[in-house]
Amino acid sequence: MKLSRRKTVIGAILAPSLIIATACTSAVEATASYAGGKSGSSSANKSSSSQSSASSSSNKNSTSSDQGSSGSTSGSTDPQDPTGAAKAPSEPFKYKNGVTITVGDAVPATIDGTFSSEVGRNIPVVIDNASSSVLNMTSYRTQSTVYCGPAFGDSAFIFPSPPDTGPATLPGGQKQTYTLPVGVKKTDLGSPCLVTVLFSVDNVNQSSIDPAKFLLTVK
Amino acid sequence: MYYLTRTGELPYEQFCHSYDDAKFTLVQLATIGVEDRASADEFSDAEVRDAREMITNVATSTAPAEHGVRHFEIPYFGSWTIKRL
Repeated sequence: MKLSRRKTVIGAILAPSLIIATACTSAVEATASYAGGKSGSSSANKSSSSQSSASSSSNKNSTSSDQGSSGSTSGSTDPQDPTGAAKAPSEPFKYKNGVTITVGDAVPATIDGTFSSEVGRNIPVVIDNASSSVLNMTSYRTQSTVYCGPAFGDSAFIFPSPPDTGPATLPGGQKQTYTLPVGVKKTDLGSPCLVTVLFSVDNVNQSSIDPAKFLLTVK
Repeated sequence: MYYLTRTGELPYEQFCHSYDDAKFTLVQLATIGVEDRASADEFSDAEVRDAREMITNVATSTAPAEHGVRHFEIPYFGSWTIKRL
């Protein structure tokens, strides 16, 4: 095992050094959404229990509560469970307190560190904060997830580092577009991915904030 | 001029004209190396993620001041430095 690893490492170092020689002079050098809920999608139900806390935290998703009357308890915070996901890019995910999140079509991008088995994509995330809360966006990239492939079993890598396209905090009344830079497996292109977006609110328990889920076909 | 080097049992060194060139080289080397091992299932998803996050940090790093050095400890891919000569 150790030998094979060494061979791998040596191969990884030597082979690319030939390819990359041109770069350096070598050698000596909530629910969901459904705006208006008209789609009436039953899949957008959130758990009724989470609804009750929604009003107090004012960070729960409105569709949940709207559809809570159905008595569904299918709401899930599992990032690989598509229950309650909005259909991106057409459907927004609305929270009861007025926050609306929309995910746009993934845009092809060249991102340093993308594996050869992947393609780089920038997924635009539009946050419209019509609430009175200040949204903390400092860790949305590390909290958010993108799962693609069969049963949403492939975790797409979200590149965590700046530069970012939006401010660290988003006060009430403001709208901003953020970006999720991801590496998506080439084999997952054309199939739906489950994008889960999470933000924070100071002095609000993170677990009380429903993740905004979107089904997005990455092309 | 910048000097890219890896210390340890598998040394590597290269001179680059710019910090961006050195950074690009390191990112490419590390990405290929980590992907190689990830595809061979030698590391867990979490381990690969840790390594990739550091690679991203390399990609977004800025050049050191004159005669300064940037150190990068890339999980499972060794200790690297980019030194401004």
